[in-house]
Amino acid sequence: MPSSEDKLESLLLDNRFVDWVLNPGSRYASYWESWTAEREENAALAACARAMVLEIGMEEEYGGEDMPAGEVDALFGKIREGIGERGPHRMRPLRWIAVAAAVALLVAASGWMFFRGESKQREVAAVAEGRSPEVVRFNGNSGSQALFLPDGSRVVLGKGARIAYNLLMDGSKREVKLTGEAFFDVVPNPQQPFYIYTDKMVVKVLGTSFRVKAGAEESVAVSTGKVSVYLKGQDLEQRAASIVMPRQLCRYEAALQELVTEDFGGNLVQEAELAKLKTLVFEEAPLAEVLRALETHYAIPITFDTDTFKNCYITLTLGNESLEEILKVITRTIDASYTLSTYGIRVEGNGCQNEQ
Amino acid sequence: MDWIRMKSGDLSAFERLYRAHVQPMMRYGLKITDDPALVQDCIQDLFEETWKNRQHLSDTPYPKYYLLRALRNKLSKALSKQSFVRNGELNLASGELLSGYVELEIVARETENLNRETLRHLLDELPRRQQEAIHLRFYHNVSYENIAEMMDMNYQSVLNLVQRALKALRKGFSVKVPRR
Repeated sequence: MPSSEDKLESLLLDNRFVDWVLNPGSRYASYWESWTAEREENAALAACARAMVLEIGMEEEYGGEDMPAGEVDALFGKIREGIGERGPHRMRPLRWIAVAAAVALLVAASGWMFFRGESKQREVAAVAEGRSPEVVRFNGNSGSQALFLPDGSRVVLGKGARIAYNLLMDGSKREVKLTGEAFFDVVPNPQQPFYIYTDKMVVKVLGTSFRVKAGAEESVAVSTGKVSVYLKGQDLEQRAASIVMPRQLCRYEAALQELVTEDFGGNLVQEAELAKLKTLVFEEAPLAEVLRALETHYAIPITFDTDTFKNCYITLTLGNESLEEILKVITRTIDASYTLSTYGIRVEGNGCQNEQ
Repeated sequence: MDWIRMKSGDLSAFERLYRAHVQPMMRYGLKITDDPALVQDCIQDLFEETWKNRQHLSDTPYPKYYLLRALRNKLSKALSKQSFVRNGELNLASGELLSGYVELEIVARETENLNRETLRHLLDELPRRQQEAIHLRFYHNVSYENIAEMMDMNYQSVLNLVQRALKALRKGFSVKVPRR
């Protein structure tokens, strides 16, 4: 019988499957929808293969940099010149043009390389800092889904939305990559600004609540506080970021390739979803129960030896604290330690005495 | 739509085609060579030629595929003209048998010392042809048949190439393989 790995592989090697994941208007959609509905195993395999495709796609997206808008324009200028907009009768000083084009290209190319070089450095720095692995959360449900981020911020993911972030959100910035629509309620922390990256935009936040739509029509709508929005690759020295205030909406206008800010009257539907995230209170609760709640609260697998910790009891309130803070509190209380890996969190220690 | 308008001499449709595709083309080009200036040169040439020959071009519902494939041909020609050949670019010109052999060896060596690396790192470490195929299939949504055509390989070899790449990437995914 073929293993799960083999089955996953055959999905990824199937054009129709990949097209379904990448192309919103895929003509194979109904086929795969009924295929996944057929058996639970199919649904699990499809979800896994889908996540893999999207993860590769996202890495490809963020692994390279877009050409800055100025260079896109400059290159088209050269093409225009090359196809002879000036008409065929006039003699052109050919050599001079060739030299000028070479100089212009050199300048453009060095700007581009500088940009790419910088991003590579950033990645190297992240690796050197020993940052935690990336977590991807995808809302495959039919409705919105509310969840906590490791820093205690809350997010409501719309149907089909997907975010990726560092397991612990450590590092100098809190960074989230988003596709689809999401509502954010960000815990203020000026020392560690919160950034959201979409296909076209970068949203910088100091602590506020707002909605971001990433994908075909990108926009940011602010409920409280304020955020600044700029285009990816935009030179902030030359053009300031757009500041978006409460009850304003900033959207990416594809035709102009610009950000447009306007007032908006509507309510942010997802805001109501946040209420569903309850604060959890534990009084003298077994450690296993607390860790299991933590697992679902932050969507991170937590492993520990149930036998070792069977006598440990904890009193704790789970709310807007960061995952790291809570882990520190718990491990300090029971004199244990925790480690992180790609597979989640592992709690280790010597357990607790019977009489506490 | 814009393709057909462009063919009938609509310059603004031509500009829209350029603006819609220049970023994916640039990204793809940089998978083939590390030289952004060369990619820009080829993109410029390609669009100039496309405009000049517009009346002779056939209709295509997928201008993106046409443009990516044409860019690869241009880059391939330009790279083979250069008197020096850098490491990864050898793959472009050399036969498939040879590169397949080299890839297997590299992959075998890599799996020894790569344990818990991120997907990004694993992708960067893939042999260039594997990177290219992965990029085309999972980023640009180009079918395996068309990848085979573009990379001048047969269909089964492309599947084998991607299969090898996926095996090398396996540890980098954050999702867990479902167990029965």
